[in-house]
Amino acid sequence: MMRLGVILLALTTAACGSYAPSMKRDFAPGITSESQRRHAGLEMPPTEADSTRAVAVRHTVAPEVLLTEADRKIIFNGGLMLQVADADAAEKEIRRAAEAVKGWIHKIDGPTFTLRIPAAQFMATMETVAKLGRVLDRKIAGTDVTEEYKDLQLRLENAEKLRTRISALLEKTKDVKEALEVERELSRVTEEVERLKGKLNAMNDAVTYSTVVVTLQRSAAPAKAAAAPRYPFAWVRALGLESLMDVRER
Amino acid sequence: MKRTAILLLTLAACGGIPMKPDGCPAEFVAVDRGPYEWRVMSARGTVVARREFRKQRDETLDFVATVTRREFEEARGYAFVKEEQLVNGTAMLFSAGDAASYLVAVFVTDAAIITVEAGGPKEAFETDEAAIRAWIAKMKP
Repeated sequence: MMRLGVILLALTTAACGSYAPSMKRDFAPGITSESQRRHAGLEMPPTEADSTRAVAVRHTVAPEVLLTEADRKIIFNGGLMLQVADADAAEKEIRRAAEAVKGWIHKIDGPTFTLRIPAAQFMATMETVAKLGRVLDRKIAGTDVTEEYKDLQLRLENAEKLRTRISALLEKTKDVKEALEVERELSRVTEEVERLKGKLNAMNDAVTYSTVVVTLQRSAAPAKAAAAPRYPFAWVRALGLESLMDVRER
Repeated sequence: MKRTAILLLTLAACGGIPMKPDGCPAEFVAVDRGPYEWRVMSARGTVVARREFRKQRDETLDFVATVTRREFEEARGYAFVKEEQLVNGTAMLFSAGDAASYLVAVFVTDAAIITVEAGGPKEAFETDEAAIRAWIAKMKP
């Protein structure tokens, strides 16, 4: 009995001992990875090895490529506050912009739209949506969760290995008391495996699809005619729906 | 037969029979030109027309596009929806209340300002919009 307790303790400690410390880095709005920070011309203290590469990146790599760096796990979040004259038309265009890149409107809360956009299309979609009105506020943030992701993967692997070992131990138990104790431990580790899997899936989802929150603000009524520009150009005065739609029978 | 063809062409050239412009989507037919170079209409009621103005000043595309947008937004109360860059041109979509949509593409050459307008009831316009945009995108000023 004493021996079993020692074995369980040893197994658990071994599994826990290999956990890497969780590390999460938040970048300032508009800045994503370190390479993007360099791309944007906002220098980080360069490491010796990176200094040459950083220059090359700045001049030759498109932002989309930086966004999908396979070796980094970055969660992108963006926010736009737009002043628009026609909120209904803007909503349709927002929906089109999301669907055009295989994204979707995740939530609508009054004038606020939460979009989920494939990470590789994040910046392009931000730009498309920003053109729908006057930008009152814009936020872009990237959180590098690579270390946290790797840590979770490692913890999951270890928990799964531990579960296998405990299962094997269960077969070797000699009495009911021992079996119950091992089963209790097995149940705890299984729960841990499921919890870690859930966390990893959620993180994968957040990395794969960026979140863009768009808030629309209806602009004031159209400017009064008195304050409006009066252009002395025939071509602009000739434009408009009234003349266009005035089709006569011939 | 040959005489009929010549007569039809002559009439068309004189403005007797409206002619469909190149690249016009099949769902549009030519209608009364009015002050335009040509004007076409879909069964849903969307109208597209082209006009050319001789350039009297040295307006750039940016100037013409800005004037157009401000004129419609500020002087006429249209709501700006979006803008798209074309080859030598800019297309702007406006909403005229809940009832109508209006798209204007402006092109600038050394000698002329060319406008292509499209408009109609909102729902009809939305149905025809993709075909109109594809057509306008291929236009050469």
